[in-house]
Amino acid sequence: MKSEDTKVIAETARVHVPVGDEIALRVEELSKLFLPKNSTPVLAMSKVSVEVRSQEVLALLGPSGCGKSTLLRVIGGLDTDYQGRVEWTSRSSEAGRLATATVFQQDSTLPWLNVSDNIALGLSGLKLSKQERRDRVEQYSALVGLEHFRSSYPHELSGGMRQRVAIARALAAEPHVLLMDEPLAALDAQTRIVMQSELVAIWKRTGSTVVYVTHDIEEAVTLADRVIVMTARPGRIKSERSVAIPRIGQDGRLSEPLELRAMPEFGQLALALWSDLAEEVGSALSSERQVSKQ
Amino acid sequence: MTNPVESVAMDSMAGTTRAEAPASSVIDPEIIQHEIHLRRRRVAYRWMLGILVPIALLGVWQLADFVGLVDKRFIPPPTQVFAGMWDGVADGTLTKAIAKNGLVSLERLLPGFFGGVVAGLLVGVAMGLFDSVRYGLAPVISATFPLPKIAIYPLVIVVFGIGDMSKIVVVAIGAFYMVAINTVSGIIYSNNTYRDVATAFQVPKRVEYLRIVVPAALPSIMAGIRLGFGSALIVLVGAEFVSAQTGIGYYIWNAWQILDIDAMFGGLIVIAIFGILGNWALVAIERKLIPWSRA
Repeated sequence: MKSEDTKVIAETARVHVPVGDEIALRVEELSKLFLPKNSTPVLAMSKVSVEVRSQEVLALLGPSGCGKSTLLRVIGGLDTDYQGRVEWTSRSSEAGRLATATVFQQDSTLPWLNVSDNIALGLSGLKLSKQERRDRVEQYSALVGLEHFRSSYPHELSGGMRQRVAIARALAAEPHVLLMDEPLAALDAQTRIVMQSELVAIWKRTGSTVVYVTHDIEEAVTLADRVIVMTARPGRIKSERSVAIPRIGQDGRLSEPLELRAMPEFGQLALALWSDLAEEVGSALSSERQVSKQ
Repeated sequence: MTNPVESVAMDSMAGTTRAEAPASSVIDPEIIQHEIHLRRRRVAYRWMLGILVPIALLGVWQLADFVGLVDKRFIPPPTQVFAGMWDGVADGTLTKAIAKNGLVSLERLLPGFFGGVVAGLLVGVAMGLFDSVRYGLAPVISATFPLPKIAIYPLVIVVFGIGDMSKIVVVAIGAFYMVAINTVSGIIYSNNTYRDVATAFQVPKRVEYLRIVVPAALPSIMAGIRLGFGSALIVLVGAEFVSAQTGIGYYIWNAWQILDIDAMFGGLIVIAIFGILGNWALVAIERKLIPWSRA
């Protein structure tokens, strides 16, 4: 992997949070080709290799159309038509945990089920007793602050609350790898900051392994232990940087997103990521212009 | 949940002070009253429209007779029709005849309609879920769907005989297509995210079909059932026109042949009542089943 010249490993190596040494997930030489009916084939991803260690939060950052969501769909089993290999260390759903669970960018709550049933639906693939199922629903709905809305239906909730239902559903399945596809993109700026701090707290509490797709540099730095920048289409790995920002303050509590943003290291890393990303956004735009000219 | 915005606020940097309004979770009863009042007015207005528009249409009819736009012998004014019907109701001849024929029609309509709905649901769900069933049956469905159902009636009589069974079957066919076609498209075109959730969480197939696929298609399925009800009524009356000695279709056709205009309108009103009651019942079921899509 190191031989790939497109990869820049940041100098600031040591990750501050204890990340396991085990590999939770390994993606090798993954390529994905789309064959649209009425236009030229599109190579969405080209030979992407990624390793995710257990209890690590990995952010995938890239211009729109770089295949980062596609990568997540392949890992999550939603897209089975690809070249390359995806290996899970614990693929099986035994011991009451799913291999993967996904939080989608768009609203993915089922309107005909109330909050409890929406969360419980995600557990239907697991062998759990009724009591265990009920406990999980109660525990995780409380974790996202929806303990008073368990019997509410999605149309009675705000967009942010619905997204919290989707997050609770994914967490309740206690997946070996939690996949999140821009889960906060549809939320307003304030709610997003609140949710960012909630997510970090939840992940620390549950020791989650997370692959987090986003187009928001600050969000990536705020949440992740490691950030991978992908190139414009076809998506390849452009750079890979560790986030060495002390997330736990002297008083032992987790720093809030806005406190992190005020740190000089945060700005430096964000700037570095932006310089990686800026060229790609530019080339994504120019290639789109070419396509539209044809 | 802690409030991160508050905990982030750094005292040394605070440039403003906040004046907190006293929190109050009690809603002023006057506001509630006002909201209820507005809602009641909205409901009353809708009901009024539903009553006034038919009355206005009757007025147009009356006027058309009055100025001689239509032939009074065939289309008497509504006042005369209602007067004639009232006489029939008063001496019991009309009510008796209509009740008898209406009941006979209902005994054909309901089993036929339910049979068609069930068959349409089964075929539609199977076609929506399984590609092989869809590609196998789609040409058959699209070839037979445009046939006027009443044109198949002779064939149905050949198979099921001249009795009630053939009428029930043709009514079922009338309802079947609407339900099947709407069920298929409801399943195919419902939001992809719902199926993605099932895959992403490795939901067992049975749970996926019953708790995700069918509920997601339910708005479209219910629309198909309502269309199917209309179609069933049309086919029923058509079948009774051609081959029956009882039923509301027979009653109307017979009234036309003996030029008993009042009886004819009486029969039409019964069909209209079937339509309204059926639609109300289906809308009520729909609201119960699909609370999230209530307008």
